[in-house]
Amino acid sequence: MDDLRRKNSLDFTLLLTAVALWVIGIFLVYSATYIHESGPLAGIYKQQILWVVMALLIVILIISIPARYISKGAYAFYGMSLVMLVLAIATGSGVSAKGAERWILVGGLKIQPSEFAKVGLLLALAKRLSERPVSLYNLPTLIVPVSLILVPFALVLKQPDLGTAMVFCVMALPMFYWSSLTLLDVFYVVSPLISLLLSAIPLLLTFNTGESWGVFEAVPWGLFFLVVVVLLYIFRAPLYIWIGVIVGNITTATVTTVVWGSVLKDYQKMRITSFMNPQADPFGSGYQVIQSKVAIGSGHIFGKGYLQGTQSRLSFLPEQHTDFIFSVLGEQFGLVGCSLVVILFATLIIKGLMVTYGCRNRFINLTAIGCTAILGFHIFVNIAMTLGMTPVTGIPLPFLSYGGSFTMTVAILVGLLLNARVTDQDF
Amino acid sequence: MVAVVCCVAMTVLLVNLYRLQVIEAEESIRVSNENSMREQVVLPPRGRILDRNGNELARNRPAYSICVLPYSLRNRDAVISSLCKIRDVEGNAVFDSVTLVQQIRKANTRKFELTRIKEDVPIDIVSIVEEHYMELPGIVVETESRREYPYGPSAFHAVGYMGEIPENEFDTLRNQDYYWGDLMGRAGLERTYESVMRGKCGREYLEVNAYGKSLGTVSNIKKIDPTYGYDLYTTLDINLQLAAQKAFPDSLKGAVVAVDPRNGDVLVLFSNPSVDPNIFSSSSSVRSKTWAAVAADRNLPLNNRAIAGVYPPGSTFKVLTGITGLDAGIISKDSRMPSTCGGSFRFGNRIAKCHKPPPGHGSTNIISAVQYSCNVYFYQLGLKLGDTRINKYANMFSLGSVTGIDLPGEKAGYLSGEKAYNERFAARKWRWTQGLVMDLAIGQQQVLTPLQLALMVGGMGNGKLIYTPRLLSEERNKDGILVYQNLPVVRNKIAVGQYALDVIREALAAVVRPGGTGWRAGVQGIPVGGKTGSAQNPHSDISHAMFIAVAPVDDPVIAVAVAIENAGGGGAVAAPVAGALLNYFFSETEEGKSVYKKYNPDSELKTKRPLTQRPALSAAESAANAAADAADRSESAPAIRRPTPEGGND
Repeated sequence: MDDLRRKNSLDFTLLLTAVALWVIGIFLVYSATYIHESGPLAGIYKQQILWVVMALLIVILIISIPARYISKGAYAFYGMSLVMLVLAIATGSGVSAKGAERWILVGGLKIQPSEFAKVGLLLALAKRLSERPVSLYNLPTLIVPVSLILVPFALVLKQPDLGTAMVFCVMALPMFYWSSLTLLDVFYVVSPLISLLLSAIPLLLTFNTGESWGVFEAVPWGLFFLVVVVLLYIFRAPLYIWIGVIVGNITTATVTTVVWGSVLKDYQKMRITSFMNPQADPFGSGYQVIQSKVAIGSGHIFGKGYLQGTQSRLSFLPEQHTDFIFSVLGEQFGLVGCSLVVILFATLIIKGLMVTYGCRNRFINLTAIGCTAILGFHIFVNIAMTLGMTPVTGIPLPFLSYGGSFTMTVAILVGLLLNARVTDQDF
Repeated sequence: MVAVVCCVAMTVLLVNLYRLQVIEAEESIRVSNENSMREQVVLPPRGRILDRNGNELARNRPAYSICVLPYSLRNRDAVISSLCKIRDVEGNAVFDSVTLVQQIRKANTRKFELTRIKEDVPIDIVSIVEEHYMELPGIVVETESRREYPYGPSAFHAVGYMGEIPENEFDTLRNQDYYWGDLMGRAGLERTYESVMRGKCGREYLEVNAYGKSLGTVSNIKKIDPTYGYDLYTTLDINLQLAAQKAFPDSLKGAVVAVDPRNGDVLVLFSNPSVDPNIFSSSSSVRSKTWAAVAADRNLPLNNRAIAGVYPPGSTFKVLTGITGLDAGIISKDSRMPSTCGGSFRFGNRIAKCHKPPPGHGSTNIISAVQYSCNVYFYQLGLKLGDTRINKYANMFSLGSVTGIDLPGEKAGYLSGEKAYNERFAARKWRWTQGLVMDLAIGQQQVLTPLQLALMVGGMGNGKLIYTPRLLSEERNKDGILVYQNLPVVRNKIAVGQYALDVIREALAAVVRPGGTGWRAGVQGIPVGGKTGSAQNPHSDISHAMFIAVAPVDDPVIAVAVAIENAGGGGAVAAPVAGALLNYFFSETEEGKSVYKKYNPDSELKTKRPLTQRPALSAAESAANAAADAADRSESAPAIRRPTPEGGND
């Protein structure tokens, strides 16, 4: 009985957390833009209110759709999002923001197809993985899921939208793990990426500080590579996995070094490393990071008070109503406000994970973990970016950032999470 | 596993938040305050310069410049093409895209500061820009105050001009409230009274956004109000100066100075050629273009010839030789020299000519010697007096040293004499000889400024004191309240007996009377004293025309010196300028009119009729004038075939 009630009632904690975050978001968007009396940013908080209302409607709509219909429509949604992506590239010159082909116009509404592609890929992957488990030891099972990822991945890279492309990969990993891969398998898959990072770190640091590491440049990656080989040996990986992992790791490490050495121009390197040392180019690539850190830092413990943030009010914060909305929060509400919001986000993620653990249906289960992964990745990367911990990527903060398509996407994700609790899971 | 990853991520975020917002907060708070606060320096309007009648010689006008703020310049090409569409009333494009691209590229180095792209823009262009602000993001119109000189070139040398601070002076000035790119007085009164007129910068703290847009003052920091500069009330009479300028031959170089001997007030300070000081406060493109032309001009229009032009005084110096002789008791009013003038004078084996060819002036006394400017008389007087005695009186009459006028760049001139000459020409191994005393006595050895000559002749008329010449009369604050009064300062006490003064005044008056060489400077009803001079100089065969005048000669209110380079005879060229000036003074100015009334109590002054239109001269007077003119012309013929040490205006 207890079990039944838990599964078939709406998770109000999750819903209220989401609504609270959305409301906070509206206030933050207002405080970030109220200074503009005219121009494109004037009064956009009203727009955001509209988005949030629409988001709530979407949540209700999704809750009321039985999960099996969602499951049935998964590929259709995926296909639709692909078509929109292609349209965005084809009509790319139509509306271009920040010089990237990211928008399409649907009846006067600007729609960002890459946002919906996240949901499309999530549903399609969940559907596929719930029907046919994958295994590294049975390569043909990987063909379809990997293709499902690669198509939107390539289209999004073409735009180019590196952030969204990263979201695709990050979302897919836990889903594969949930589906059937072991932790070791996931490690094998991820190891080339780790190789990339480890081989890049000495290069970044050298560029930044000007001090060459000499032969020690190879040390971090070398150690990691050794660990990979040892693991392959201990767990007796089959030959093709040996070959695949080793070739993959060596290739990424080499390509990283070559690209860094001869392809990237200095200003590009500067942009990549600016988060480590924003003062190197304070009015260029480092500007956003510096201003954001100053905003958050100057908030101190209790913040400067609502609408009292000088950094945000005086427009020193770039993109403050979208990607850097967390800085607005940090400046006006300080450590207390930031911690509160981080705790709300944590509640959301934990609730998401609890949903995942509580579902027996594989499709719902995979959808829930995917939703949680997407939200968690966005939250972590965005906040880390405003704190100057990671490079500046175009990844907005769920619930708080201004934006129609993104708010809708978040609404769909929240809806899917809530749906998992109320829906009939036997299909 | 997933839960572990989540927990680690959350912890990382919280730890970083704590580090940023608690441990490193202080630095961020400081930067944040600096970010949003700009110190705004408020420069008060500069004090005006006025003449003695309250006419503005220098004032301020509002001006507009168009600036670019690179940070908010979102779409550079669109803004440039919009700007290029703006046309002025004549239909010419105001901006050109090539220059704009360059200027914007330069401005980009300081993204958050305003950079001027067009200075001193007419108001109609400004209104076009303001109407289209929406299409021109990043373009800002800035208001500033620029200096304006209503009388343009006429008052240039007295008033001076404004210019940017030169690099070598900036190091010291930066501690005195000056900022790079500020304008400061570079010459004339603008320079001398820079600190008086400039005032003190105020400061206010503005809250500005990242676009540099001011959002009002920061309330909790007190603003410092600017201290206004004072207005300068000068002793100049610009209308009198214009009258002198009108009479001055435009194409010739030279200067006119008029001083009030009673207190040192400089009434007229005119130097030709001149420059319009307004160009120096116009836009930098006009400025640099014109500046190049002015600086390269061989006529040196920037040179203030009234105080820095040194000319041999020529025959005008004879009155000094004369007064020395009279006061030393060597001559009296009626005494005559041993040698009568036969057109030349023999000293040793040197034959020094008088300008009048044989039969010469015949026997002369001091009055007629001055009146006809007889060289032979003064050769002998000079030899009797010697250079030391003459120079003692020259010093007494303020010659040969800087007068101390409140203008920069004054020259001291040079009073020859045995010691000075030997020092000066030591390199050329020239030695002083007795024969040179003869040249000294007729003013062909020294070089002096017009201002010094005016003081000298004023001193002879005044007879007691020579005051330091001054342009500043009063300083008043912006409400017109007197702040400082510049009282007359005595420069020289004249220790000359009354007899010598009376005789020399009579001689000066004789020069201007019909038949004297300076008859053109006469004013009907006023006893004017004067002396012509035609100073030879090594630069040209045509002598400098010199004229000094003092009026009324026995109780003077005005002393005038005119110097015109390479113009010929002083009586024909320089005296009319002094005449026009004096006539204007006694017929148009309040001070002159009251003096005129004192001398002519019966005749009602007919202000409509210029005094220059005299009643018809008698035939005898006309003939005498003609003879005087002939003398004047011949005076300019070289008397001594020998280069004078210095001449002209180098």
